[in-house]
Amino acid sequence: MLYLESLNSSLHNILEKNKDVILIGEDLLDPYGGAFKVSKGLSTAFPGQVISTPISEAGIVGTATGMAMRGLKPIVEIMFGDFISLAADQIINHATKYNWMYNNQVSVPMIIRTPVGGRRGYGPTHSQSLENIFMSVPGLEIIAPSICHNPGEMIEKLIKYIDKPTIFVEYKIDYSKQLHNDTFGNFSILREDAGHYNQNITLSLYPDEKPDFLIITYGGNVTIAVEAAEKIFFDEEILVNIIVLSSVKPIDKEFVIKSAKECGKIIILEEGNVTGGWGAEVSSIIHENSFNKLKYPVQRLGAMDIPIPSSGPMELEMLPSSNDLYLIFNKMS
Amino acid sequence: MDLNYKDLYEKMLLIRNFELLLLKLFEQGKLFGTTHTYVGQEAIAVSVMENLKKTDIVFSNHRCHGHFLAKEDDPEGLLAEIMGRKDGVCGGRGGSQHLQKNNFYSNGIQGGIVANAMGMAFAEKYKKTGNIVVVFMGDGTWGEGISYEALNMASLWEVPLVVVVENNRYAQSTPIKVNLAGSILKRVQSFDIDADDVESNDIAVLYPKFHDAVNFVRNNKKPFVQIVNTYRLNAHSKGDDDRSEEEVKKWWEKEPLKYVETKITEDEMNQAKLSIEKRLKIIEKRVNDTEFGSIN
Repeated sequence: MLYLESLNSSLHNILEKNKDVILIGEDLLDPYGGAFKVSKGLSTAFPGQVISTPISEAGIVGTATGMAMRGLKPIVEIMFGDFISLAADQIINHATKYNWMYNNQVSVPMIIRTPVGGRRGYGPTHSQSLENIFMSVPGLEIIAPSICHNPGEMIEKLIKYIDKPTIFVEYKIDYSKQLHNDTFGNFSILREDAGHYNQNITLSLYPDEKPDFLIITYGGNVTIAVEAAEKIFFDEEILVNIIVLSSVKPIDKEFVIKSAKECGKIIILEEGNVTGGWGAEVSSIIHENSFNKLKYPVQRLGAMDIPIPSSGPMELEMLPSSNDLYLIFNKMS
Repeated sequence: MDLNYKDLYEKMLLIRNFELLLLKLFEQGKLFGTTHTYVGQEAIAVSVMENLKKTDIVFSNHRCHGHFLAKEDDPEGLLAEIMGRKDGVCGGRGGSQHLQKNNFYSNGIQGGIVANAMGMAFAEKYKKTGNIVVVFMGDGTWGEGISYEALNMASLWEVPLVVVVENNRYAQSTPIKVNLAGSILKRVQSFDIDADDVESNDIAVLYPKFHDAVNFVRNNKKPFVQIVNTYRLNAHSKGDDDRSEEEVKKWWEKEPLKYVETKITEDEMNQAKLSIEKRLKIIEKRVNDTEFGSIN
């Protein structure tokens, strides 16, 4: 099943079973069905539950926040993750404030789904992975299912347990990819449940052997991690395990620390900008808790600190690549 | 309209004296942060709340004490909140601008709450509860883009929302002439939202206005905007006031309590004053002796 199909069919299930769920966002109505077609068919099947809106990201998230405060469970679609900055005030000063600020008397169960990431030539304002700018916002969860996770199953579980504003990040490059269940190339997929809907995944060529390197990543960059890890294994018999978290925030500290203690050479891979990014936080967790097990300083790889170029070759150079990873392996060897 | 002016007077006086008490406590260093007093606008809050059902929802802004007191009649919970105490309506976490109790909410950011209130009104209509939502804006809030996003959607989706615009002629320190082009009424009308504009601090005028506004929204399940041109008699927050003494003095002549005082007996007025004074005195003493809130 494709990533996109998984989400679309689960949204059908969600709207059918939960009359308190409202889908709200731009261009959701059929025949268009959302810019990336995740919402295709939903407005036809559930006309009262699918609200297509004006181009008003702040207003949409603000509206959904109000809905959530009065007993509904809205699922917002922000057409491109880049546009989430337009709703930042609603996320930071409204939706995530109400629960704690009102002494836990109010909850805001709301999902904000949004496609992020580059490699499709959309350029500086339609390709970013901005979820990292919300890392420091209390009261917010960020989830990013990869193609090794099951995004549909995750969002179905999430809607059941949701009790706070949650950003659900979808890497748009993954929409057209097949989901991986047991294997990814030559890698075995090992799953560990982390709470009601999150899953920590470890990709390993030889699950019984200790790896030489560990890559920690999430979302849409699993593919380049697998490419680089396969290449270094076939070239030099260096064994790389890849950890793919689905929870971007909060970071599963216990799992990260446990994994880091088993392998002293760690690379953190993200598509957002490295500066002030998710990887900085993961790196700090490792340094604060398992510094003495490190055999090499933790390395981070992410986007360069320039806007994302539209031109294909420039974009690939600017974003993290399997070649960048390969070079880091060599440096650390 | 046959109104119980003694009762309304007492409700307005509670707001007035509560705010004056806060200013006194500030001087004594007993409050945290800042406070935005509602002195001069009391007739609006009381007129609105008297026309609502208990289950109706109110979303207020930074200047929310008057709205809260008129809706929830809980000066003790409010004072405790503003003094950071555990018995405050939000355990001392929210403070002056961030209140929540029953169906009352407030937040300190301009504009965003209009969208939140819009979503709440959508939810109430979707759930078929029959409840309506009231949101309070000021003249300054019209500088925020999200206000327009929310009004656009409120009109498109016909949600049961009363928008109360308290035009007190100043956005913090900036007079309306300097920051608002055209007119608020025309802006509202351009969304095809029914609206009314009135200049008064007299509850005999305002009460029927809100009676009509609330009924219109409840019956037609669509938004209505009531603009009230008024004046804030105290500073924006504690003591930041650069308006001319002459101007402020002119507005004191039209302050809301005066209008009601002509409609009740002197005995009734004195009784109300005594009763509010006593109530606030007891509360002040009680709250002062309570514990601060806890972050856990």
